Amino acid sequence: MSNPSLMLELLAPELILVVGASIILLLGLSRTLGHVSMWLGLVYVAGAAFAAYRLAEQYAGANPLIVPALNHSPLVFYVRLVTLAVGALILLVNRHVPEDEERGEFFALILFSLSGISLVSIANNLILLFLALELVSVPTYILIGLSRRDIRAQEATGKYFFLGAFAAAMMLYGFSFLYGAAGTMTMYAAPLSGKASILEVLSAADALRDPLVLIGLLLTLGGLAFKIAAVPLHFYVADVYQGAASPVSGMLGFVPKFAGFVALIQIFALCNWQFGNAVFWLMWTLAAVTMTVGNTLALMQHNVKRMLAYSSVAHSGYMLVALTAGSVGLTAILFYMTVYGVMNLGAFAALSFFRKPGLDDQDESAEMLDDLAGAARRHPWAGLALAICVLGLMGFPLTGGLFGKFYIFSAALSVSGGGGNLSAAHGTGMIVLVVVGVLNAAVGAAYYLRILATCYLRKPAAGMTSSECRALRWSLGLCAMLVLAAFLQPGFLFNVSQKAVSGVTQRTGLLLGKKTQAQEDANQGKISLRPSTD
Amino acid sequence: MSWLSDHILSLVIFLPVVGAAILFVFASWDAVLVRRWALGVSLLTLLLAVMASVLFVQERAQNTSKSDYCLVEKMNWVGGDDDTGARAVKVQYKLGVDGISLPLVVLTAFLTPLAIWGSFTGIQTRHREYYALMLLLLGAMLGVFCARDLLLFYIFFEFTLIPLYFLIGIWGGSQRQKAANMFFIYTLTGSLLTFAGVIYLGWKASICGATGHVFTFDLDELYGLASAGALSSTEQWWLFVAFFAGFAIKVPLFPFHTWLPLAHVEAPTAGSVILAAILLKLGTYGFLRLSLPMLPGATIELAPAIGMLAVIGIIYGAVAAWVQSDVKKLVAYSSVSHLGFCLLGMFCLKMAGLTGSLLYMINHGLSTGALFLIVGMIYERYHTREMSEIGGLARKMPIMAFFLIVFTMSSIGLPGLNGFVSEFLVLLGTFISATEINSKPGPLGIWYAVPAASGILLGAIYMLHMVRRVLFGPVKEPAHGFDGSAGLTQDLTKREIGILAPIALCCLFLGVYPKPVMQVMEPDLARGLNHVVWETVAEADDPETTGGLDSRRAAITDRPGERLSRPPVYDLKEPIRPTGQPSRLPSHLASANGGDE
Repeated sequence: MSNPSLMLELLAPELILVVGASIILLLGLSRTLGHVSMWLGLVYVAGAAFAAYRLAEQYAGANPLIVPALNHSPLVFYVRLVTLAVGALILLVNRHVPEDEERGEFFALILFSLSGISLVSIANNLILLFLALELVSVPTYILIGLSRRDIRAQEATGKYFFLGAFAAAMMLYGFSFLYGAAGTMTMYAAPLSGKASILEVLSAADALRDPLVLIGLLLTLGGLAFKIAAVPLHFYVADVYQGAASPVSGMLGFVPKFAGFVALIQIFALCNWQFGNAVFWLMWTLAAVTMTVGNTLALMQHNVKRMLAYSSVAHSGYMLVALTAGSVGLTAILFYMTVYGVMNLGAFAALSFFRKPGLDDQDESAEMLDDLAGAARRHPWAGLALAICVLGLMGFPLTGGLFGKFYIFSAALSVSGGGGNLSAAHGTGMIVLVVVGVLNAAVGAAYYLRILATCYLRKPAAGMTSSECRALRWSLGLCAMLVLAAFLQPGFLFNVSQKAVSGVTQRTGLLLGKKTQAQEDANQGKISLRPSTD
Repeated sequence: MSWLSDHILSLVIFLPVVGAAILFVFASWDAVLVRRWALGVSLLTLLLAVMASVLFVQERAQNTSKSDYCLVEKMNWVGGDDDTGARAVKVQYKLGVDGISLPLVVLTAFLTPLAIWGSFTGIQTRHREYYALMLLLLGAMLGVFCARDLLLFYIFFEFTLIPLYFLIGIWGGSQRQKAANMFFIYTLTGSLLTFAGVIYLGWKASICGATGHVFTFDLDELYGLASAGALSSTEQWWLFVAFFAGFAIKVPLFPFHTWLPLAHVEAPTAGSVILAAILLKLGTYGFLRLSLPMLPGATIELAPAIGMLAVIGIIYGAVAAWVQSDVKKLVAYSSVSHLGFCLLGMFCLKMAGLTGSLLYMINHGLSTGALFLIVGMIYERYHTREMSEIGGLARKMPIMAFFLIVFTMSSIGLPGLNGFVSEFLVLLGTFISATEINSKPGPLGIWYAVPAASGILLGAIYMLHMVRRVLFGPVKEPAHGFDGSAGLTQDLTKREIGILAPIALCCLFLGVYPKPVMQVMEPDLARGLNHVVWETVAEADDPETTGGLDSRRAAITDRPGERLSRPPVYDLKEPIRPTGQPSRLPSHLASANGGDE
């Protein structure tokens, strides 16, 4: 590695987070200083965001910038920005969760987990990709256990950990097949270095005929399906979300899922979106089944946390619809993921805001539908914020959720005539998938409506109180306002994610030596291709 | 003044929304102030709507042929000028009214203040939220009628669900939650399928349109796309089904009407009034605005099927209304029957039928809205709507009896009142529908018209049956008797007369002299119809010959006797184009589309 300073520079935001997390971990030992952990975390997040912004400015033209283990593209900037923004909200929402003497560990773990997501997007090596995904997951296992003194939290931790380890092993096994096929762990090689890369192997015309590649891809897909909670690997979701404290569940809806989808984008970009029949219909089935099963199971729940857990399965299904559409769907996925992360966090924040009397004179976060009865009449503003987030999850007008669904279905329909790497039969399949999707959205509306109905139509439950935590209140309001803003100006977020995606698609095209627009730009000197120096 | 005329539609839509927001924020207002505020805001909205129609007439007089609609407001909302190369999305905030939407805008702005005024005694809890939701609903409904961008239309269309959901769910009867849920889920399921259709059209515009790889939802561009023949017949068929899913449930067309009686019965009076008078019209308006002009091929192909469902709905609704013992349910089922007429007139694809259909929307709004108001007034006094428990009220409440009979007659279609004009035109259109449209028989005909006409007879039977039982015979009051606790007198109070009298006057006016309204509507209806007729012409004969043009002109202008036979105020030749050179056909489209058919 001859240019370590460049690597360190490219990793500056993550380094800030990790170093900051370590400092918080140390300070947490002190009784007095432990209280500032959350605020300190916010400071590091802001610092990381600043560093990310500077990096993006500095290397704006350099796409892709590849040093052996890392590859810096506009996607990285987007992922960092969204992770840090939502991450700040996650920190605020979790303000009151940990016990006094555990604040340090708790907030440090959140920062570790956040830093993992951006590493997923910057990784250029399967090993690093795997480590980054585990850096996202491992802290979440512990966070669940830390968040509540409850037997169910312990159960959730155990379940999540063992299944997570199983999925990670599956993914790693898949990576080993890819390594076997390609003979290298490097995902992208710099254009002029003459080195082998996985991209070359996977994007070959009939790469998927090679059983090694196919098995490798399927196993990887299986491992990532666990992260995004797609249907056959969704079983843990309800128990884990129920076991964790509500703010942590809100985090679980975003952090592993975002990392999983970014990893999926990375892997599929390696195939240059040449799905072939088998993988296309596999993804198709995965999307359709995930939406349907998620929504159906959510419909049967009376526990709001379990309901939102299964709905998060369904939302993964919607995003898989866009992924099935191929590279045109990426923008929609990034947009949806961001909006979904905020809406979902807002819903869980509201659950945490409404308290019910629990054991030992302690109040607990609302959990069952009945606990929310009449909540909006007691607390009109918090009720309104919850209603906005729930309407957003429903995909209703006045919320960013509408545009999320809109972009996803537009992406899916825009390949309905075939085109790209898809045949005409695939195009028809996409239309059917969109119809399945909208019918699912209607099913989803049925159970989200139950939350609204309970909050607004019923008489207030006895003994309902509200959380005193100011950070929680502010973040709940902020989530609701962001959801509204994503409706009023969806173009902003959409354009940002489109830039990120164009980075991904250009990179693949460029490295394959195709005569793309990007390469012409490169010939004209608009893009500098930095060869690796070793 | 010019600023006002440039932004009048935005003002009309957002004034009630702002009014609602203020109500939500000022939690300390007492009930009286809240009521006055809501009534004031809605009256101001009515004033603005009237101003908008004056400006509309002025603008139309100045530039008759320049554009299809007036009072345009346009603003880029989402994207539009993106150069990243990927498929961008362009959504506009674009408003405008034409002769089809303007009458409905005025109807909405006219009935909502009356519905609000009518709730003063009926609503006793949570005033602030109630009136805020009413105002929000008003804004959303006006938005649907004014939108000239398909996605904007859809957003307003769907948003109307939320206020009404809460209106039914909070202030409704004993089964309110069930009714609200059923209403919400049922209509949402349909409109989500419409959503898929909307996106598909946007995508089609992005690959065929002149906009170049941009999803666009501008109605003008989509109309251009349709009249350029960019949609193959299979696509039209599926898109029609997608739109049908949303609109037919909203209308509601038999057999998708099952949510309606429950929602009507459980809704508070004002909710029923708005639901029947305006929200159902969103469905018929959707057909008229989107399905007919954009999917002409499928419209002609499917018109007989829809006509059949409409006829079944007419008779089924009437028979079902006949056997009801609950007055409100009776009026609710009568809506199913009446809206069957509305769709029948629309899908007979004759000018007379279309005019009748649009008039029917307005007339049904007035008379059924008023009937629901009266049912609400009786309910407030006796806390029952069962016909077996009340009777002979004409003696106790003569003024109420007068109004009930007026609106019953209007609903039955007594000549001289508004219902007659529209019913007559709809049936006429259906009768002559089978006559040739350019050497091809039209979709409907006498076999649709005869059973539909029997629906009128049934309508007279069930309405008069209801009037007889409620108003005449020996006086019968429920055991708990008359309840004046809300400050009501036995007969109608001045406030209640003030609510019903304007509606009655409108009914009378539209029955005697519907010409001004029809004059506003007809040019745009003719334009809409031309899209459809155009399709048949393209299939049927050679439009280059003058014979083709003449027969088309005859097909469009055949209209009833001397009462309506006056020279058309619009230029029919303008929208009809020869096949060779459709005006908005992008050059690459002709070859791109050739393979589809």
